Amino acid sequence: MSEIRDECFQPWIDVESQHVEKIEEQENVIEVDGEVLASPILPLKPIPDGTPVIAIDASCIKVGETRSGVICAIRSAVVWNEEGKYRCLRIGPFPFHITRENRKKILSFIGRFSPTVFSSSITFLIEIQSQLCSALERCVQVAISRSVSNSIILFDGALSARLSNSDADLLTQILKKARDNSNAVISFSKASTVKFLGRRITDLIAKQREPCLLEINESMLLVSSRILRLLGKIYIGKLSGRGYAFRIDVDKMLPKEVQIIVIQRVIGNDIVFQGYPETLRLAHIFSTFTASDVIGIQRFLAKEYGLKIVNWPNLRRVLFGPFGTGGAGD
Amino acid sequence: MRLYKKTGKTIHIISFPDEDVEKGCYLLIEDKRAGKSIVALVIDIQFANVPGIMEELLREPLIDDPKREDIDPFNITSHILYVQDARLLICKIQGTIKDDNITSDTSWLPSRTHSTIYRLPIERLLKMADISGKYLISLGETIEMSPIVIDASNLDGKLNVITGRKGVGKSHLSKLLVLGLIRHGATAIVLDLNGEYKNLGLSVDGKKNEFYDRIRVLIPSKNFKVTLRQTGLSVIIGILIHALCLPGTSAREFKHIWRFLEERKMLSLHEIGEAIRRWQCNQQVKDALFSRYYALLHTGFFTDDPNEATDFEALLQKVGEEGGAIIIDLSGLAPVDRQIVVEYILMKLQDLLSQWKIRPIFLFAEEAHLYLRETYWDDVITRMRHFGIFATFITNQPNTIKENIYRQADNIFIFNFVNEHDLEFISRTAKVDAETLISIVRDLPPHHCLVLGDVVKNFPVIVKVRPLSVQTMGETRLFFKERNIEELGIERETNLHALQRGEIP
Repeated sequence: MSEIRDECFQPWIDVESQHVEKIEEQENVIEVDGEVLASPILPLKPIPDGTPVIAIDASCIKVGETRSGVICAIRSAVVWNEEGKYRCLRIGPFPFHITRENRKKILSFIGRFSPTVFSSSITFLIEIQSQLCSALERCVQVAISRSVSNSIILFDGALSARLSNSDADLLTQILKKARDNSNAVISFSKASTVKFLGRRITDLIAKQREPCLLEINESMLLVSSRILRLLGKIYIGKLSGRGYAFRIDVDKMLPKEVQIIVIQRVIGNDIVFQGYPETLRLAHIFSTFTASDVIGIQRFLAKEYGLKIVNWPNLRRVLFGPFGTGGAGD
Repeated sequence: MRLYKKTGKTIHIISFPDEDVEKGCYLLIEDKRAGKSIVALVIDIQFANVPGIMEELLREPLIDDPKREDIDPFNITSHILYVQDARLLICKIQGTIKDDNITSDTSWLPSRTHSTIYRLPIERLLKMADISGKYLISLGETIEMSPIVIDASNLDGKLNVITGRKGVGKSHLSKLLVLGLIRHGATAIVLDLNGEYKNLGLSVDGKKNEFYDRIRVLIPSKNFKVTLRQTGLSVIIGILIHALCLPGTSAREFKHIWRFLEERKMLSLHEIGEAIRRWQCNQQVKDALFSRYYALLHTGFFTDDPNEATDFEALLQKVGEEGGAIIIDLSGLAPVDRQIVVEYILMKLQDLLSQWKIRPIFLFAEEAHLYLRETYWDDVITRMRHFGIFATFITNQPNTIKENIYRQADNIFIFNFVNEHDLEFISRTAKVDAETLISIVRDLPPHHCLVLGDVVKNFPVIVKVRPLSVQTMGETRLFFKERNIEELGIERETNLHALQRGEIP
């Protein structure tokens, strides 16, 4: 960051559109064949046994632009639910100045935590932003899987990685470490791309009135989807009768009965609102940035690095005024 | 601080937590390019509408961990909290400073980007406005702890109002002004409704103070009595008509009786009674005259003995030589008697002033609605002012003073009010806009008042009224406080006896 001292910077406060989804959430479409229709829908019964539920999430936001690049900030949140009491730890914010010049340096640094980055040929600065977010999240996931035991650990996204990169190895290590400590890792995808006949697979159990689970076997996946390394067993789960259905990945190395039991433990030990675990919802809420967070970070940058705040003219707006395509091309 | 918005005379300024600004302080918005600055009074402090604050506030209670410690190596959270604590200052433009001169010009707009905003010390503002003069009265201190001294000549010839709810220090300020005026040789007459001004000549420890010889306490019917001759027909008729509601026909008969007795040099209370009894007139008129006669008689204020009577004119002339206060203690009087005495004093003053026999008078009237007749209000603020009676009204019920008094008042000292109706009423003063007045007055602590008008050159200033080293006697008697003192006394006495008996080691 020291290279930006006394530079000019244009602040951004667009929390609605500037949250960058992590790499996991930009997954490929996974097609499922007709065999899925023969798969039984398993009813779920809550198991309230006091198992702690821990959720991890991270988010990233662009806070401004300099002449040479962008400044973004990342933050992660860990939320614990122990016997109905929620505690939270936020890690960050960490501001980064990403330029074409320091891109490789950043990639090599975060590659230690997210091998996807290290091996990929990222061109856009916005992708690095997303990678930074993933790296922080993986880093926290490593720490949590090592430090807790006898718990259920919830991740945001899917337990999968492309075959072409080594992120799968890191995820495998995380899952192994978690298992070694008697933990179970489950991930929830808010925007799953698992499809059946071109429709979202979650629609298959959307009308179920009780909590239930639909198992997706690896054999059901079409060949085109097999470029991914699946480290979790894929389920489509509806954790509450009135909630939504989500793609749920459970650590594949756990026995099948245990996989179902840990999902039932989530229902029994956490609040499930709209079909989504409250712990993970809180982790998401606490990791995301509000506008006041962004202004605070901008103030830190201005004070710490002497950045001069400027407003560079928006040429599109200057030239086209209200007809400037709503900023779509900005 | 950053200039955010201007609408009319209202300016909104964004301020941050480390900037020390409070309600009632002044800000200077300096536009160096324009070469002038705006003087703005902070009338309210609100939370700034920081984007995302609602989300922040909503997510905090979701976690049951008040002592949460986050990992924040750059300490960015402190910057975030700093932004979240940003405040919006609602200010009212009071004038413009150009070349060190203050003008009331509010017609220009300073630059939002180039202006610098900083606190203008009230002491400096008042110095620039030149509120001090030759006859200084120390009122106390401003909210910035700087002394505030007004010029007594700005009370001269002026109409003043001191108002505020019960127990906030109105009478205290009134006493301070009385003593300030008499120190500069002025004559003050205090219509003391509760008998709380009579010890102004004594210090807190009961000893005589520097004002002792200048304070004259007159208690009607005791050491303040007057003869009919001193009173004069016009004053007596005024009392009969205004204080005792004597109808016109009866008043005419009374004039005849008075003149009849005067021609025969027989004017006395006794002879008036006899004359009414013998007078050939309608029985109803006679009854009306008798009832008023006995009302006058029973006040004990009128006497036939010249030795017992007070020469009010001479007393005023004497007090006027060096300056002093005449305290008219109305506390022991019935409402009608109060009106009779006040009617006498005001008519007498008007009479003496019109003949230039005495110097102008500062009249302090506590809760004047209890003894001042309706028509006097207009008289006091218009006609009597020309004769040289400069009134200060003190009240805790602002609606008992007519609205035109607030509008015409030259100086207003307003203590705290919380009642919306009272606030709405006093906001009709012409000296400041309603928003400023209501916003500041609502939050004034006890003994603090908002001073408006000529004494502060129309720059509203919050003043903490200084304590007086005299027996102010304005404190309300409290049952439990007195009982506690009694019990404490008994306990102390018991302990003393026990000690004397050797029961306590």
